Amino acid sequence: MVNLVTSDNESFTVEKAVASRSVLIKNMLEDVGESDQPIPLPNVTASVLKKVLEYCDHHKNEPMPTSEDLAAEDTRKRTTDIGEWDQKFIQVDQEMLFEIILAANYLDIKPLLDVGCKTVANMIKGKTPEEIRKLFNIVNDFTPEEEAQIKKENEWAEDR
Amino acid sequence: MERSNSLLRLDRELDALARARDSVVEAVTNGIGDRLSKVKPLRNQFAPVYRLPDEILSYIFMLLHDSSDWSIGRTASHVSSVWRQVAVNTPRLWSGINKLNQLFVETCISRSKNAPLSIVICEPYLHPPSQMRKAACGAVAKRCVAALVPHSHRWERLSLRDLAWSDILPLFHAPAPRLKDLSLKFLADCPNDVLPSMSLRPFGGNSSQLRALHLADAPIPPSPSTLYPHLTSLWLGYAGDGNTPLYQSQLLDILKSTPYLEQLNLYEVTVSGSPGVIASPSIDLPKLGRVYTDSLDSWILRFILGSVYAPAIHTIEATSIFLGNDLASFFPLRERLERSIPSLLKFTSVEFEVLDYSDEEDFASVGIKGLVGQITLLAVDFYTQPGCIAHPIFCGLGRDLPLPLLTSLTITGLEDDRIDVSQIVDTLANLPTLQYLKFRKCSASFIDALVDIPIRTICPDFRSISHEHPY
Repeated sequence: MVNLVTSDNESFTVEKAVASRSVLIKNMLEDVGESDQPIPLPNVTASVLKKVLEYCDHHKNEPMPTSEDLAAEDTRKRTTDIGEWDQKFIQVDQEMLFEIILAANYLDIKPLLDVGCKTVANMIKGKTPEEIRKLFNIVNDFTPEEEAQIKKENEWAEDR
Repeated sequence: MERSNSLLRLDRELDALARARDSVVEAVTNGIGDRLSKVKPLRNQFAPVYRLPDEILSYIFMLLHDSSDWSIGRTASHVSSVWRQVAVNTPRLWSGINKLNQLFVETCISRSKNAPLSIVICEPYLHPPSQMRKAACGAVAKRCVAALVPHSHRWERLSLRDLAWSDILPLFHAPAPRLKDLSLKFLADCPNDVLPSMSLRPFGGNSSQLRALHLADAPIPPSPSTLYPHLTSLWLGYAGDGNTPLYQSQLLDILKSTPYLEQLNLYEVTVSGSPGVIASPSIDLPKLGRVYTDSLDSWILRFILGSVYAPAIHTIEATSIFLGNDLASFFPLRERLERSIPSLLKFTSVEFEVLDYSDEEDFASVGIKGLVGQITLLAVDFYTQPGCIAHPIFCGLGRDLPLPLLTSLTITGLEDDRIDVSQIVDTLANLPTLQYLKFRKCSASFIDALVDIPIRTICPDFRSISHEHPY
């Protein structure tokens, strides 16, 4: 078993197979060898780690992506398709969604990072800039120079 | 007099006051504008989405781009200042050029840096069409082409449609060493004097990565063309009409030039020649797996299937085929079939399925799936207008399509208003090794009649007959 300690000082004891879905934790475990020492995760809160571990537990028996898989991804066309279980898992509020993405990035869990990024991509898909601003509570903060450039670029859309 | 002077003085004072007020309002507005322009980016920093680092935001945009949303670069760059920086600095988002607009093309070329380019351009829809607008589009096309040519080393996909050859010709003189996919559709005003040399060695003969060639109503390059040797996919459409006939020998020469072909698509292709002719010796296409045809005379497909040696074929899909009277018009003779598509003769079980077989439907489809054990070796699907398609195909099983090893035949969706029991029995006579006959969703009358017939006299090893979900 592995003991993980979050930024808000909460402790999680999980199976090694679950924790090792994170390449960061896996490497740490390999570096320190057999040890009871808790692993500090200063960039992850308890509520986020709980979700991350739920994902890792569900996928613990799946093969880890190899470096060849990751290299092949760069040349292969990506899709925004998400598995059924993952879709349900990632139905969270925006705040949590972005925290999961950040945690997956920090913990180096590529499949979870993909699920999070694909979810955001699907939220953006087909929306206008104004709709995207509304969705993510962003305001238009372009400088006058940028606005002038954007006006020109909008003429592209009028050409088929 | 004095009264009017006073009024004039008052008017001047009022004007001065109004000017002073406007300048104060302007100063305040500018001040507010300045402050707002400083506050807005700060406000955005509190949006949860802004917690994502640039590289993750960039990755999300690339996911959308790869899912065919080529406008995501423009959309994302029009959301906010930070998003614009991220989008503009993600080269891949600008690697898809799909508008005939000079500024757009130049912007994409510049922002895509060294990323491979996918160029998909067509003439804009002109309504109402006019010569003047057409000429203007031609001029824009020429300028876009001039901007693209210096980056030919980055082209990965080049798809051109409804453009004039004269406007795009410079594209074919530039070396395209990374080009994988070339598509030319409905290009007008083909220059007879330039095309022969261009189509022999397009891109200066430097297109060795080309894998997919798609030609619709476009001149078909002669077989020594440097376009063919490494192709894995060839799509020919609207070819071989009266003006530019496609001869049998020409088609065979092209197939000979594509030894790595995996997929062949023919759409409304007319071939001039004699139905009885086939290539000898066979053209070796060891990787050919899929053949799709649409609106094709059945003899042309028979001619192609009979002329190749293609042991890896696993899918043949024939849509709107002019079938003739029987399956023989589609498949070559047995002795030829053994040399061309040997997998066809190895089936141990066949699933014959009639779908949407109704006069009310727009089309009917008949599928023949041939299996060896549990492995599907070949799926042949015919799609055509409703009518009597099922009859000639079914009656050809074992006769026109030899099935010497067949032990199991499953028939789905066959109705007795199209085929009667005697025709089923005649077909069984051509399948002497048959052991199992299974009907699914067929007319109940078949099984009622067949149980009274001694099938073992025609199929000595016959064991069982069954019917699931009879009508």
